[in-house]
Amino acid sequence: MKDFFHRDLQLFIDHRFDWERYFRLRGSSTEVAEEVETYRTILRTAGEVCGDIEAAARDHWHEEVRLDGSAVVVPPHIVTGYEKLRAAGLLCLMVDPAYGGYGLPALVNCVFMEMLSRADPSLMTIVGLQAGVALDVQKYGSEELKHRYLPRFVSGELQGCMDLTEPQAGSDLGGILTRLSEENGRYFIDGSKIFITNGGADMHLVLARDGATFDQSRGTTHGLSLALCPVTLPDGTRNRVRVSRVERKMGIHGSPTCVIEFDHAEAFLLGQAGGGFRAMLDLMNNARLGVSAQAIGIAEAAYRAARQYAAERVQFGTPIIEQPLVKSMLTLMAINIQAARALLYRTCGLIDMTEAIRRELAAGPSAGNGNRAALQTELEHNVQLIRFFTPLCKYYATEISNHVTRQGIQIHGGIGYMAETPAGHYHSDSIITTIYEGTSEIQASFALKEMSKGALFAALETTRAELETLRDRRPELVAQVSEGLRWIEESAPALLGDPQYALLNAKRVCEMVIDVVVGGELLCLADVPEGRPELAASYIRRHMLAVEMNARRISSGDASRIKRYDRILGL
Amino acid sequence: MKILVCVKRVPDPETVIKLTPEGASIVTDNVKWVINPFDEIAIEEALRIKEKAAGTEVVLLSIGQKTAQEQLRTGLAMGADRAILVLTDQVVEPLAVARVIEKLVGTEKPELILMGKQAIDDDSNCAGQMVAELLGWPQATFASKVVLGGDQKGAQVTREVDGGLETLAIPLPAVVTADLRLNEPRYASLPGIMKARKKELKEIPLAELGVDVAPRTRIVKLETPPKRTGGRKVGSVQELVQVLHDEAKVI
Repeated sequence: MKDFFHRDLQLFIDHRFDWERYFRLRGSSTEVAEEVETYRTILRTAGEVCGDIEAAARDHWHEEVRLDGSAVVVPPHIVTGYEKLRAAGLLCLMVDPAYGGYGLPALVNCVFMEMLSRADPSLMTIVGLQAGVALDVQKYGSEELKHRYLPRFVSGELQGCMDLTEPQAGSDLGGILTRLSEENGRYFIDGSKIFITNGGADMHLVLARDGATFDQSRGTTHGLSLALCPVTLPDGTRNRVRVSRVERKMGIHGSPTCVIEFDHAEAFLLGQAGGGFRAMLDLMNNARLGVSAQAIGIAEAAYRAARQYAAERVQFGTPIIEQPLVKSMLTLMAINIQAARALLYRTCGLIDMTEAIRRELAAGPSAGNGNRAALQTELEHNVQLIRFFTPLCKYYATEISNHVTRQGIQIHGGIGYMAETPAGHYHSDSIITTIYEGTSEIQASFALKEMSKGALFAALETTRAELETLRDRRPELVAQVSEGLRWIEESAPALLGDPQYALLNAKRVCEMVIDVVVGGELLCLADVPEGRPELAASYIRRHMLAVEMNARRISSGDASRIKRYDRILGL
Repeated sequence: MKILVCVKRVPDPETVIKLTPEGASIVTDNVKWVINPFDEIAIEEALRIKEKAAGTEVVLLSIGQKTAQEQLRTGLAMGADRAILVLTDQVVEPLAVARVIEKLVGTEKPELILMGKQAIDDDSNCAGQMVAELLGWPQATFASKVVLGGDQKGAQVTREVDGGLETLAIPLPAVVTADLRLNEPRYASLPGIMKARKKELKEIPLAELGVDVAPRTRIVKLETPPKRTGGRKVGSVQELVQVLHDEAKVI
């Protein structure tokens, strides 16, 4: 059970990323094999720590966060788990060495997030946010802020949270009314935020409306600023920010969800005043990949519990794993998890390579790593793909997590419905993943927007090129995925012209793209040592049929569910 | 002072062990390898001594294939200072292990040798004792507590013995073998892993040491324990006592 950094995860480190090129672009002179071995060692050790954290998270799943005055009190197992991670130095892995961090790639970080979430998805939110806030400070903060705060994020002294949501501003951040005002070069925040994960943290990253343009910008995402609001100010005094309430939830009980009040709290501006929305999107894209990893981690835990139960539970004289319908559920769970991983870790790899290219280009022509114009083109291509794949990852990983954890309960039968059984806990924990950091519907509509800007064909072209390299080895499967590609290209024009019809089909078209891209990825993974071609084949057979069905539905032009919704609902 | 800690690469205790068809060895494919858990405790104890006594050097020693580097690196990442790997492809019996250690003590000159009380693969539980005998050093085995004297000339070692605890006072240099309750080993930390990359890991071919490692024993057969059958419920305490007495014959 303690096998956290297992083969299905190792594959992505060992075979699906061009480490040679990554380190060459970064101008690193170290031995590549040695670097990668260090990453494996880190993940192996991190996996052991996760294995150690898991048991307490299972036993104390029901324990809730409390509010004591304005102090947020998390359950003891969360404190212990955090301490273990801190002692092992596993916080904020990506922070640059210049600020006391380790500068690890997004791919390594995301694999760790998945493992940690498998052990304890509540603790993962705390650690994930801390790392995310630190990265945003690194990207947008002044040198002074970076030197003051980043080493303390890495050491675990400071935790972080992202304060976005307000009662009237959920998916629509244009509704934000919290105000950031400037007084003699200092900034102050007034307002309140709700649903703030780990709101008891020491460092609040707040999205607020710039006071100078408050009235003109109301209702839009223009005029939003990003500010860092510490609970304890640099001179040691307590800032005027407090938690007024913690919520009770359906799952992730160990993760605090808070209402925050800012009463003229001092803050430090990150980036430009009124230019915070772009920075926030950056942070949210990171967080979306984090939630994708979280969702997969929860699904993995649910799948393992179900597989073990099915192997042990005897009915009709044999373990139920022998029943065709149970086999079908378990294989589907395993395939879906690996499919979501394929998309997520592909995206993380793209992010890392793109960052390396950016670094190379910034280093100037003397660095001499090939054609700069070609690198620039690749950079733009990658950025487009990352913007497209990030919402797809969030959509897909979290939806399959909901499904896998639900199947986990089903395999457990009546036992699965009992309050003490972890099967139900996994499902309760999983459901938030399709909601926070942008609902599945928001992700689908974001992805749709990127498609209309040309990302669809960029993604399909990339997959097509990859398929060609595999055609000789697996002609039949490559032909099936190519057929899927053809269905997408044939049906896509039906979405042009009517934005409402396109939105109605947003999830459908996202799923089609995912099916084809993941189909290609799984084929690439099939031929590596210990790869599982059967898994790829099963996925492709099933999902290319789905692509065809979705294509036919899109081409049909049937919009009755929006055009006749009043009649369907009987209004 | 200098502490030599002996480390063996063994299959993870959580790995399901399968026997080869000949039945004299185990299938090593798909086995996860770890530091022998008792040796890990020995490393932890050495690190705790180092944390209390400045200037202490912790040197790791392993005997085996090149793959044992992985375990030594883990030990270095936990905080040990450097490592020595005596390379060999052959099976090294406890007496041979003890002779290799004796030989290296000649060059390393440690004041304390810490090792696990036994390796969890062959469970021989004698290398430590043999090292002490070969060197003519005092030994304290099955240690559950080690207190070093302030002058570093001796140690008080609490041992787990049948029916209780025994505390020995031993002069240094000495051999101490670690039992389960001595401490709870730390994880290698991320900073530790980074630092370990730069630490020295010296490899010495076994043949170069000129030690007699010829095997004295041969494994004839390995068997897995009999499969457990279901238990049975009894109606009362009286019945339980009766059954334990009459059938199980344990009371």
